[in-house]
Amino acid sequence: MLRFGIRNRPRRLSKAMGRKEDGHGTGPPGRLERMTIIVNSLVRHERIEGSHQYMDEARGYTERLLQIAAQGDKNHEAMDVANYWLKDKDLIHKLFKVLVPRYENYTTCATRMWTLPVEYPGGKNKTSILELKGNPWPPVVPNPRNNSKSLINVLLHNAKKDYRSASKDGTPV
Amino acid sequence: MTNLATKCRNVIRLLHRHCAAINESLFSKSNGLHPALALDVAAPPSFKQQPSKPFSLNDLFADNIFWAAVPKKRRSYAKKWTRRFGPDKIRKFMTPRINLVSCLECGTWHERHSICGSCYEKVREETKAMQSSMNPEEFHYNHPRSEVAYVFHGEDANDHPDKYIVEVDKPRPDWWPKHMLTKGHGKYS
Ligand SMILES: [Zn+2]
Repeated sequence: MLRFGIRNRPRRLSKAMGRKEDGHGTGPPGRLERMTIIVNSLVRHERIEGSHQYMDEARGYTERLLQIAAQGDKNHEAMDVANYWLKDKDLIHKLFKVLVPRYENYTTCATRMWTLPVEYPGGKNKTSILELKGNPWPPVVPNPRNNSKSLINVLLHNAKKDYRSASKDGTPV
Repeated sequence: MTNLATKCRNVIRLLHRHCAAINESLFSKSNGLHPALALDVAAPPSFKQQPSKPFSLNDLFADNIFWAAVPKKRRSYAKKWTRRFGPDKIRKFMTPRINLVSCLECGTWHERHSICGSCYEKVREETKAMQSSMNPEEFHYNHPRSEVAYVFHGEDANDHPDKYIVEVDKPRPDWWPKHMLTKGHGKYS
């Protein structure tokens, strides 16, 4: 089970690897090839930037790869999957020896996405950052503001508490 | 007749577009022709480096200059101005943006759903500096098989047992969050 919200409909990305000579896209095999390239790059760099739709698609595959790899490198299925998704074979060691122990006790997903601002006037395509949690790089938002003490948040927090205590008692809210 | 006129105009347009190349091939010094009609500008470096050959019409055909795609029909003024300033452009440039917020750190405007671009710029540069401080052979072809610790100037490498140590040739930046340098703070510290 994936631990983050996914899109209802998969993106087809039929021209993920460009066009063939006859003018048609490369279809599902090309899509998978592009996904392997992105997953490979993410496992090596731990933080990559790119078009939002490609990053979002590759995110799910990365999560699934990490979940399957959690079965260990003795498992044939896990090894086959890792062998398919990681074209650079030095990363297979990284996957089983670094990433799997890192996410062993995580209760959340292992990746995180951020949206980058567009340059005016912008278009329909967004640029995004996709990163693995626990990476050694400086955090994307270094010192985020703590807004929990702002008036609106305090009121909302207490309203939530009231609602929960009331619904626990069975009294109508 | 009109067709012939159009073709002639296209050829003239092509010649005009590629006049620099033709000029070079016609009046290059090695050919011994008089450069009186040559353009009085410095030739781009690509032309200088090319070995000059004697001019022949075959070259024009071979270089696809003659067969390049050109507009066949004149675009009317109505269509031209609609393309430039029509409803599409009005929607794109003149609708007010209501999803902009200003960054609390630096004041740059960005969309509400996005992070601040100018604040992320320094993070990106720092990340690149850290990545380049590792041996590129190792980073790109033989990745370390343990967690990597980046040790800046004035820090002790012994704080990171069982980690692959990479030394960075500069002090740690000021804006690096302090809570990431102490142990035992978070859930997964
Ligand atoms: Zn900012």
